[in-house]
Amino acid sequence: MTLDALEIQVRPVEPPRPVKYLGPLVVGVIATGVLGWVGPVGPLWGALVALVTFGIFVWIDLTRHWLDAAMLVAGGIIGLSFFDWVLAGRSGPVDFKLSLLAAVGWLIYGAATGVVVYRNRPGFKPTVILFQALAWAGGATLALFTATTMGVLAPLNARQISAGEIQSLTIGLFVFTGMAACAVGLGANISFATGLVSIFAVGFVVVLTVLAYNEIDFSTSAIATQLTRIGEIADDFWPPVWKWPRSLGQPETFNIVEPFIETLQIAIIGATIGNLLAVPLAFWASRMTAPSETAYRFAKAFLNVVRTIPDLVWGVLFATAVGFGNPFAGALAMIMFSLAIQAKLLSETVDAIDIGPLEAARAAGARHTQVIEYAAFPQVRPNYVAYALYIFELNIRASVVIGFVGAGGIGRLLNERRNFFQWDQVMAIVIVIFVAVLLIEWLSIWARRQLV
Amino acid sequence: MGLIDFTNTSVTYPGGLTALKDVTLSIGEGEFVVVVGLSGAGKSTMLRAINGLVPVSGSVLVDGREVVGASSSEIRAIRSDVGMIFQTFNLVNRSRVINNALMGRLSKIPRWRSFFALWPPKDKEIALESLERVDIVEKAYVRASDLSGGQQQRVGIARALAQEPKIILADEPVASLDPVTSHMVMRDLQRINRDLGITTLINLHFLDLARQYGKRLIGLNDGKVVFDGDISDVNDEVFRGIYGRAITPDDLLDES
Repeated sequence: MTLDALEIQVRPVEPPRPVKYLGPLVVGVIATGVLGWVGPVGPLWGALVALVTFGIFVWIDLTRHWLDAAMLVAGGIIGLSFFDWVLAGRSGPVDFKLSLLAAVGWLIYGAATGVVVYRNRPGFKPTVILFQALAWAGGATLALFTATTMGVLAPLNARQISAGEIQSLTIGLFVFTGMAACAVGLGANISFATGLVSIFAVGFVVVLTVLAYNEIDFSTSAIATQLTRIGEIADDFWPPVWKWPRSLGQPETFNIVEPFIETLQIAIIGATIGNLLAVPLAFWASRMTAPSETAYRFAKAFLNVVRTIPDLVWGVLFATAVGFGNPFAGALAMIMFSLAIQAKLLSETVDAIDIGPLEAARAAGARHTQVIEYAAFPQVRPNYVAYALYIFELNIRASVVIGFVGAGGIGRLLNERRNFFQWDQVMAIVIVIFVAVLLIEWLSIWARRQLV
Repeated sequence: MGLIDFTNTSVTYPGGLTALKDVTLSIGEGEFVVVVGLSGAGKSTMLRAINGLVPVSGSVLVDGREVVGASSSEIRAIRSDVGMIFQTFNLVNRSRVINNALMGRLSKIPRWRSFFALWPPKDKEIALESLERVDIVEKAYVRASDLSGGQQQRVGIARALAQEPKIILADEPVASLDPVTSHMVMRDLQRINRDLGITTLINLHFLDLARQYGKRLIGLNDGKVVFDGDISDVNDEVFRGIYGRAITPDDLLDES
């Protein structure tokens, strides 16, 4: 235990850090995206993607073994051929079901990457194969589904997809896969910046998705403003009706999923961007870490203003600004809502941190931002993540409500059905909201336990 | 001219308290100086005047650079050459040991590198070597909060060493430790001073520790230097001048 034992010390091996994978990940997304635009389809495309993946594995020192390369190429050729075959031979529009089927191809390829990771990373459980496969397949499904609603595939419903169109889809796919990987990385011990970058990446993708949903018209007619007679309609609530025609003369369909996904997206965007913007504001709004008195006063004043305006008023304001019924308005309102809560909670947590490490960093000659990144943020990171997940839960509920004031999402559908006195349909919507909110809360509580 | 030159240096806190009064002294390169005094005598303030953590007036020259009136980038340049060790260790408990040691390298790398935690291998190597020097490298990837007090203080020393400093300031480095670990940490500091020739200033509360490890002793009382000389010249009279009373067992680590 003394200094004299200097010679017999053994350096421990550094455990893998997710931040190390960020560079290869970015290059991988860009490389495969470019390949997607110019490259061929089918087996050759699969082989190229597999080689890029292998290159990344070599970069991060995972493997140099020819067997792994062969396995990846085989998985790529089989998986991507299947992906092409499903899409090229489709009979209808690319809906969620077809996206799932096509994603099986990526499931095969993802499993191949999982096997390589499992073979080369000692200590990993075999479940890593399953998780890798699911991450790739999940990314593929989301990408296809989003591409459809974004209109990339929508005009093509009547004809075959050409080779180039499939490739442009894969770009979205890789963005989503990167997103999934980033989200996983968030759960681990990563740097200040990587956390923010991954949150930003997720937020960016979801913004694009919501903008796409913006294109969808729900064909709302004029909204009746009659008062309802609660006592007489109570009987009408049961049994719930799950399907109804979207407009007159149309077949009956289950209409709750799309607006509910929209609500989820509003909540995710609001929580992501709001929580991101709250970080600098929170550090400014605490005397412990404010760069100057002016910054402190500005942040405090700004947060006070934002906090005094309730979420419903934000909803009305933004609905007026960007258009009634526009989910973008909901997203903006949720950003302000999340930002106010997170900045308030986080800055109060920062007030209570140990000042010692900050002094130590300053004494070592660190700049102000470095002091915050290395001495202050690590102290509040678990709180930050816990608050962020809690705010996400709040956002789900709040974004249902702000739909009532014209900010999009399932709240809007609920309001619409209510105004048509379709109480049995309202009941169905309420049940869906209830079950989904419950599930998301369980998931969020579970995630918080894993992270904190 | 020494490595550190105080000339009529005073420190007055914003509250109006003058903690250091008109101090003039010089500390040469490679010296091992122990600063003693009652709590509130200005020991911590004197150390913090050297790296500009307190509002200084007069003149403090550190390796030929003036601390008083230095711009924020000048003061950062001075601080990057001065390592500091604290009574309460001041580690980021949630971070790994290696990350705490790397904090000593923050002033040496560009801002974008620290933002993305992209440490050059050279800086990582320096941090690991610093941990090796205080025999704690096997804990490099352990959370700082999982270490014992003595181990944490050694990480604190490694963080200072990672700066590759010319000067180390140790502010009551053993006050939170038990006697056995206190001696261990003092031996570490002594060895670093001897092997690397880093000028070392240590605030100590216990007189026997000062006698055992120090060469030169500076005694402070009410912000003024009341003794500055060789440690072997310290007798009861000198002690009374510093503490205002005779030595009691409370002033000795191994008897208290």
